[in-house]
Amino acid sequence: MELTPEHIDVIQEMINIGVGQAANMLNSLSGKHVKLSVPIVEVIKSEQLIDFFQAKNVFDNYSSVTLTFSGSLSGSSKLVFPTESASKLVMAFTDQSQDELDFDEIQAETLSEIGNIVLNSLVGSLANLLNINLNYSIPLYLTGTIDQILSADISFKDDGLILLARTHFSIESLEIEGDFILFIDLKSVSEFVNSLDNFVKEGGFFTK
Amino acid sequence: MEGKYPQFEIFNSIPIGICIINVNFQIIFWNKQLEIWTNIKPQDIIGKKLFESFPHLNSPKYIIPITSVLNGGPPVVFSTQLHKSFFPSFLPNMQPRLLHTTVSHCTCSLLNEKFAVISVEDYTYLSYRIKEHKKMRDQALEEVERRKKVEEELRKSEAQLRELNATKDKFFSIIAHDLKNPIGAFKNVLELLYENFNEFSKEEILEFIEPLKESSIQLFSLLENLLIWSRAQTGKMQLEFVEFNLIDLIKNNISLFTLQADNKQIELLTQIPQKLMVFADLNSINAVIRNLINNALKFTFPGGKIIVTAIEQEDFALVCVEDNGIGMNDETKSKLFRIDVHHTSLGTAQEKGTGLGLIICKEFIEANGGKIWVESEEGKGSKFYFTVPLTKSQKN
Amino acid sequence: MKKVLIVDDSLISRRMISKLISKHNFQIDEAVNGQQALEKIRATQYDIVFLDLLMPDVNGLQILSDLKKENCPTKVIVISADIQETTKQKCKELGAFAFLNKPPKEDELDDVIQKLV
Repeated sequence: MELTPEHIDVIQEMINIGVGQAANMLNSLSGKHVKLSVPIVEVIKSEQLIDFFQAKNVFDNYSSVTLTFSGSLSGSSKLVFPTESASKLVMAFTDQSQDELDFDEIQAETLSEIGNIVLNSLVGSLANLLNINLNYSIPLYLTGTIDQILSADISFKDDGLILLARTHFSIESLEIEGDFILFIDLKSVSEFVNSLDNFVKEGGFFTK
Repeated sequence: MEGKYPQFEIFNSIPIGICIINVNFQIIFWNKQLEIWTNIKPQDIIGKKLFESFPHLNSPKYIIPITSVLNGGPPVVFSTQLHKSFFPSFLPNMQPRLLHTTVSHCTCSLLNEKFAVISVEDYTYLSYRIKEHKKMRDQALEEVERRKKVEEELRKSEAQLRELNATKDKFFSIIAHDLKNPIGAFKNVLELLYENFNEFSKEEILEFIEPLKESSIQLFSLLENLLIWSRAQTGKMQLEFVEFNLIDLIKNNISLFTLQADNKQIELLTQIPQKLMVFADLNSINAVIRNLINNALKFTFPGGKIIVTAIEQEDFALVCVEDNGIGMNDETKSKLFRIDVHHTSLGTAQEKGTGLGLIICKEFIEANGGKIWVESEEGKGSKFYFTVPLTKSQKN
Repeated sequence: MKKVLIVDDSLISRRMISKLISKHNFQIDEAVNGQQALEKIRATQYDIVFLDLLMPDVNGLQILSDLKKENCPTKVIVISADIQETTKQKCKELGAFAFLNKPPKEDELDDVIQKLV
């Protein structure tokens, strides 16, 4: 099942709203302004996904937070940060000095909260806007190469829909990049497309 | 209220803290582990609202996410670094317990009720262990830094020792070659004179004595240099900085060497102003001038010329001792002021030299805050330059 | 008849805002990016501009800044997903008439338009 440009447009807007919410939450938690840039949404295949990340360096270390969901839709969502961005993101919230760039388990734990906030805003806003009910897993925090991170996700091997949005933001002088990946399992793809269509038909955002 | 939820009994047997609240933010379950960690008994807290028992949670930072979870939203994490005490808890040593808190939704289908389950994990020991490891790692890094410094010091000492050794070797080689032979010659000639005194005529005796006299002057000069140099090495030489007229020093030395120059038929000239006030150690500068003129005389042919000039250049007096003697090639020039290279050069009248004089000159000039260098061309002659700091008034 | 411009790179957003303000019988024009928006505003005198902030070519704040420099009299209503207080403050400083969170509620939109008219 293919997504039309109109579908992509809707998803793009929803992700924008999700990113805006995430920025707002990060702002109130850190007390600092978050400068946003537009996340561009793409539909890609699983082979392309690995290539996309490996374009940089196969052995790069990444930190990720994963939220799996079931219910009206089944699939999973991931937020992936290269370790350097993960470090900077944590730095924006704690009082660490610039040169303590080694990313240890304490920082990883802090990242699990912050990553989860962003992920929740993104997935939560999607679920809200599409008016669908989801059951969520406990967020899973993982580090490793992109291969390891993606393979840990069952949805990755499923033949469903994969949406990728690169998010880039900066907090004070810290430049942070993270990638949001949404997996919709094959069995839920038609349901997903239906809810997108309903959304547009029923006047979308503004009739709630 | 606890009795109303028998299914939660199981949570009393797990090592994770569990607190369950309903849509009204009322605590309906508080497990054993939380009781142990917070010293709050279930019977004392069940039925109370979350914010009554924990007022610090009564802020949008907590209310908004927890409300979202109660409404079926995704789970929320409160990490130990950003939320120091969600449920305040302390270790026996009064240190705060670091509790990682997750709030997730639960719908109890049997009762058709929505809950938020607050799960609390103890990360304290993990955190401590990581901090300890980091401390150890930092200590190890410090140790590495310290050792690097020690190695650096060792290397410096080594270099110093090597230089000292070279100095000592030079010293001994001078004594072995440049003193022993002339003094040996003395011994032989004197022995000969003594044994055959009556057989020699006055003129013949004079012929013997004349070269000895020349030799003794050179030897004495060498000994003087050796003494000065060894005193400088052992740090016994004290430099006394005074203001004096450099020109006087030059004039004195010129008169000292005039006879010698005449004997060798060498012209000894000067191009100097009346006065050039410098701030330096008088004796060492004197020794330098003496050595340079002595060298110039050694390496210039009869009929040759030596010119001593002195001018003011910025904050220094620049002196030049120029000769049109045998000069030096690049190889010889490079060996000149160095202590680790041995060479003996023969003067134009076969005078022997050790090069010690120039080494001493370099040390003296540098100790006085100046520089010494040479320009020379084989067959054409040499120019020796050195600088001496001017007095403040002379500078102006 | 009042002239309004809707600036948003998303088709669905433009369509939705259009629908929401249809009751007011404005003459509605659209711009799909910042560059186009500036060109249109400079060419035509609009009564209201509905401005999105997160656009790929230029951020809406930059547009606001340019319009302020040019002393443009048009009233700008910002409708954005970036709902940070700090962002709202910036919009105010740059002369925006109002700020609405995306997605805006119909009654909120009506209120603001009432105030303008």
